[in-house]
Amino acid sequence: MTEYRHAPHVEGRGIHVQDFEFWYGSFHALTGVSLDIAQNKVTSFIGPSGCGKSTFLRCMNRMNDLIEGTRCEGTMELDGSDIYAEGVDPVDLRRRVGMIFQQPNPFPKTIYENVAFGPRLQGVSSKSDLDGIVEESLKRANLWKEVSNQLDKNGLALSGGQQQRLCIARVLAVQPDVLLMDEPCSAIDPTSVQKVEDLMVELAPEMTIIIVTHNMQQAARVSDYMAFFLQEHAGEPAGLVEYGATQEIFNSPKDGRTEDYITGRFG
Amino acid sequence: MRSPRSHGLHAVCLLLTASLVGVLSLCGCTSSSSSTEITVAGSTTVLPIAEIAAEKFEAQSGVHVLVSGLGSSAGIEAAMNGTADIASSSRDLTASERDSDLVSTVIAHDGIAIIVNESNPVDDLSMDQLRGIYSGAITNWSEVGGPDLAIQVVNRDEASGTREAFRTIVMGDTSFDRSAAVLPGTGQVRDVVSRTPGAIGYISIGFVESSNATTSVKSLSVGGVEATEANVENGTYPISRELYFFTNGEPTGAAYDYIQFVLSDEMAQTIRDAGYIPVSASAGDAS
Amino acid sequence: MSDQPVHDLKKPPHLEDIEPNKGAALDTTTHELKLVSHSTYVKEKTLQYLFLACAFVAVLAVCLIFVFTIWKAFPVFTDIGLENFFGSVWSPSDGQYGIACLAAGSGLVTVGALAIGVPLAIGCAVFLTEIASKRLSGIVSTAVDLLAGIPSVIYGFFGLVVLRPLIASASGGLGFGALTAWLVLAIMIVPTITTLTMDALRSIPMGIREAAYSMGATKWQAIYKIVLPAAKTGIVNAVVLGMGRAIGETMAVLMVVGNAPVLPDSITSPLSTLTSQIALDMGYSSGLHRSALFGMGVVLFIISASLVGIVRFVSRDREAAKARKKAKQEEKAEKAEKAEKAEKAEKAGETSSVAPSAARMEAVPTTPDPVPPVEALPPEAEGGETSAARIKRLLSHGGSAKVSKDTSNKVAVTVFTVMALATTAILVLIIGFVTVNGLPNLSLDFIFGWPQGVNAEGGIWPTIVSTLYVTALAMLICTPIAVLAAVYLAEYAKQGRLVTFIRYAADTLSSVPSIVMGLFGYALFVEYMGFGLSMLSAALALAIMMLPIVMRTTEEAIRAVPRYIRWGAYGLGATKWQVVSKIVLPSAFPRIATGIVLAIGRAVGETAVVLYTMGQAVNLPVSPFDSGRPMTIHLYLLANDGINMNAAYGTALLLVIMILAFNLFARYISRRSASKSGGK
Repeated sequence: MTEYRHAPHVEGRGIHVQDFEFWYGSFHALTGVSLDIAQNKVTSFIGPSGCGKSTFLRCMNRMNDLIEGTRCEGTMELDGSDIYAEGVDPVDLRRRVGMIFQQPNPFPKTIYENVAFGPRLQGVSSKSDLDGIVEESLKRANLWKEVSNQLDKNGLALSGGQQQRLCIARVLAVQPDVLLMDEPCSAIDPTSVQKVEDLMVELAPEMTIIIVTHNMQQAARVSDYMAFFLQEHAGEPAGLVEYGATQEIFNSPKDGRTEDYITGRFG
Repeated sequence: MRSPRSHGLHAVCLLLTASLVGVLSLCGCTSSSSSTEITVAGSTTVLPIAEIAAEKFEAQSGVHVLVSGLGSSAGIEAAMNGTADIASSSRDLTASERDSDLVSTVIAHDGIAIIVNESNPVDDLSMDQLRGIYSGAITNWSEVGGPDLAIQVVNRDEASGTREAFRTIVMGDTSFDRSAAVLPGTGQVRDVVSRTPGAIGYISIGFVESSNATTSVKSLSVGGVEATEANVENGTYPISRELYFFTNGEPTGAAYDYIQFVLSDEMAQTIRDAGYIPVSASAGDAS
Repeated sequence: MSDQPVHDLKKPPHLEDIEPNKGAALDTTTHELKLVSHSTYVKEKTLQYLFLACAFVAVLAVCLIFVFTIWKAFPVFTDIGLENFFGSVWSPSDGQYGIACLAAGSGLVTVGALAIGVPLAIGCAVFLTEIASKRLSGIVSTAVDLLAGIPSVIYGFFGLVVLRPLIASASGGLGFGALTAWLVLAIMIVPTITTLTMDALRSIPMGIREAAYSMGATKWQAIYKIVLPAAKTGIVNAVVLGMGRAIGETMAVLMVVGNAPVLPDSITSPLSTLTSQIALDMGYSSGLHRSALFGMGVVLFIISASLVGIVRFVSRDREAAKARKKAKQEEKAEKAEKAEKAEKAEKAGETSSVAPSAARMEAVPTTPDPVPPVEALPPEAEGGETSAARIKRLLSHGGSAKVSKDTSNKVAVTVFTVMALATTAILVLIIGFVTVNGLPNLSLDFIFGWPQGVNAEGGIWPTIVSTLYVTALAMLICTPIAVLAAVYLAEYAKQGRLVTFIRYAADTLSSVPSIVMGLFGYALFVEYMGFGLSMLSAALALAIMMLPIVMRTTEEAIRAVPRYIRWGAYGLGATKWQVVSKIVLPSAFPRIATGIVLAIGRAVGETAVVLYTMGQAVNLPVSPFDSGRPMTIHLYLLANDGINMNAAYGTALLLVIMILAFNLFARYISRRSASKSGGK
């Protein structure tokens, strides 16, 4: 079913996907997905609920490995290496491909310990190094000003939006190449949404960002490229319908279904 | 039955043998080193006496005494095969056991009083009547000269030395009525009988008058003989027995010292507290 | 699928330029995907197998218990003979080892206890979940929890010195017998059944109740017609588990049944049960007598294991449905949503004409049919009446019932309230009884002194030390194994036969009557392994008994850690073990600690397990191979002797204080952690 009219111009190394298929047990969730994701750009995945965009996102750092009975076929390469090749360490992959979730999920530890968690996993143990990493990461996540004098506070005590930025800071502390964001703004208040969006734009030159969102305006605001996923009939696998530069998709979608979705005829 | 302490006991025995050899090689010197241990196993009836004696004896002599209550038979077996130095027993040796080298020492007398509720007008029962009541043949006090009241028989558990003594002395070949209540303690028997008009039970004479209890019971005379210490000592009271220590051969060393300690005046009060009649007291009276 | 763009994308010209080349060391290190390093692989695998091994300890324990008890019971088949063994005369001194009357006694005692305890417990649970205000519910549920923590020897003691004399004077008998046992056991199983029933009731969605209320149901109608039927399976499970507890209970029964191994003439005459007879005879039995006791242990084991089997069978459908639902939610949430939406869209498309008729057709079978026969209707009404008017008219037929509806509601609510308050009153009564009688005997000399003389005047210090010693040792053995096993079950295991098997083993293990655990501990640790009557033997037996409890609470605690938090850690490149050790276990710690503290409370109060594994010598234990006498056994012996009751009351009070302290501490931990994570 996949039939994309236009492909974005790829400006660097990135993620290359070819004929990707995915199953939850016997349920065939995704089929025939092929696309290349540009490095250091923001790409958004849109589509109605159940179209497999989050599933696809979670395949990119092999998060789905954690769910029993999942299986995939096809090619998914990060900077030219197949991430599903035999022997590849998903743990190291996930350090390079960080992820932000819909629900802010700070660890029930202090703010400091939340951010220092990743670096500690990488073996950083010197206090001054950690202090530096924590400060820089929080600064990059635009959270430093708000929490610099309360680093010992429990991460769960922050507001929803702050928690989400704490999670971003936590990911930034391990310097990922790619940042996956699964509806990062759907559970936080509008002011915080603004801050997170700003953050994405700021971070884009340094890392590849892929965001799943239901918010069309958000996709338009932050992303350079956009991919539209759709499951056409219940029970059948979903697939990629259209992929291209955000402006192009918004202004002149090639596929009628994309147009229907963007203009709000479904979902 | 395998002794539950067999593992520990083997070690103890090795130690003991070693120290005995040591002692013998020092030309029969009787004083034992502080690391010496002796083992007393057997009757649960004698257990409290043996334990307290062990404590006091250790404080005096430094000899550690291991006491365990496995039942008289198991204790005798342990003494015969050497896993225990002293067997404590609430019964005399059986015919087959007499063939061994066991030497017996009487450490106390025990008289068993038949108790009823204070409201019960019956004062005396014969051995036959007792047997009838405990076998379930007699079920109403009116059959033994009392009021028309159902008899509530209270028996002791089979682990009890008192029951064993009662069985051998009173019941003979007749079986206990199995529907009688079985209580696992002297105080309980006493308490239950003191609160139940139709009840009958048996306990050691020493517990009939109890400083700890708030209620009282009446002890019956048996075949016309009152249940008193004097009658136990002079042998007229029929339901009585002796408590024994058995050793494999004449007791020597620490074991001898320990037995002497149990027989000493110092232990007399403890033996009384346990409900028994010390040998020293009767010996004193006899002389 | 049009191919050209894909091919274009595959090799963008500039990408080839930056293709990773071996020259740039920095490049390769940053951009090549690392393979799983051998050491990491080995480490993670080793840990996984270690956890699996821990999880298998439960299975091993169940097998060992079965094998060892059967092995010790073997003469039942060879020398005693099954005919004798299942006969009706229990008279070991005559070579009669018939357990029929004992089994009947167990059955009688259990049935009566259930008849009294189940209504009380269900009433209590309904009150707590459906009726009580939050504050009252808090008080009563604390009482229920504390009742669950009180050791059985205290219940037995209470039954012996309080209930027995009452029943004796009421019946004119001795007061030992089934009736006393019923009352004592009923009190004991109420907390078990109440807690499990509450779980079942709470799992019923609030919406169902609201739907019932919105249709004009009274509280009682909602409970009776909607909530209780919906929770049926859960309640059946609760009752079966309560039954298991009643059958397996030893000490409390032993102290009040009167121990006559016959079929009782009445409910106030003495009888005996399987468990109490084992506890009574074990100390002095030998030879075939002892084999027969082990044979009874096997029978008890089989009964309790079958009860667990029944529970699993009954709840299988429910669990399966739950699992299916969960799987759907987790894996196919998106799909489900989508399908729903598609359906909606479809409906919206077809709609208007079809929908109402479909709805009407669906509604027909579900409406109860108090519809009077058509002939009874006035003919003109049938034609002219609107359906609303018709319904209204038909409903008015039921109007007369209204008074009784309110009355029955009031009566029912009152009954439930009384049941809940009665349960609380029982706790107050027991604690009050122990306190009033025990307090005058408590003194520093009593706590820190040694027992003196044959009747244990003086203090109970060695028994306190023995209790703490054996509990600490048992928890040291049990906790690491149980926690790691729980980690395996919650984090590593793939759902499937293996996990089902391990869970079944753990459930069976937790249902093994404590006296059977004591028999097993005696056979394996005391005799076979030669640890003797010692702290170690008792601690090992206790550890096995605590294992499934700690395992279960830990597993639940681990599962309660949100998935999102785990993902966060995985997303940062943590290995499985790092996620578990650094995130999951610390997050679950308060709940795990609560579970462990509760288990400690149980271990402190345990009697039957240690009765024949620790010995009963008054001794201050130093090495694990020392014998000792814990407080529970001291209390049991004092109560049995019935001579020095002051010391018994004092010991009981100290024991209750210790256990309540552990229970309240556990509540404190869980409440503190709840307020910590809940508060902002």
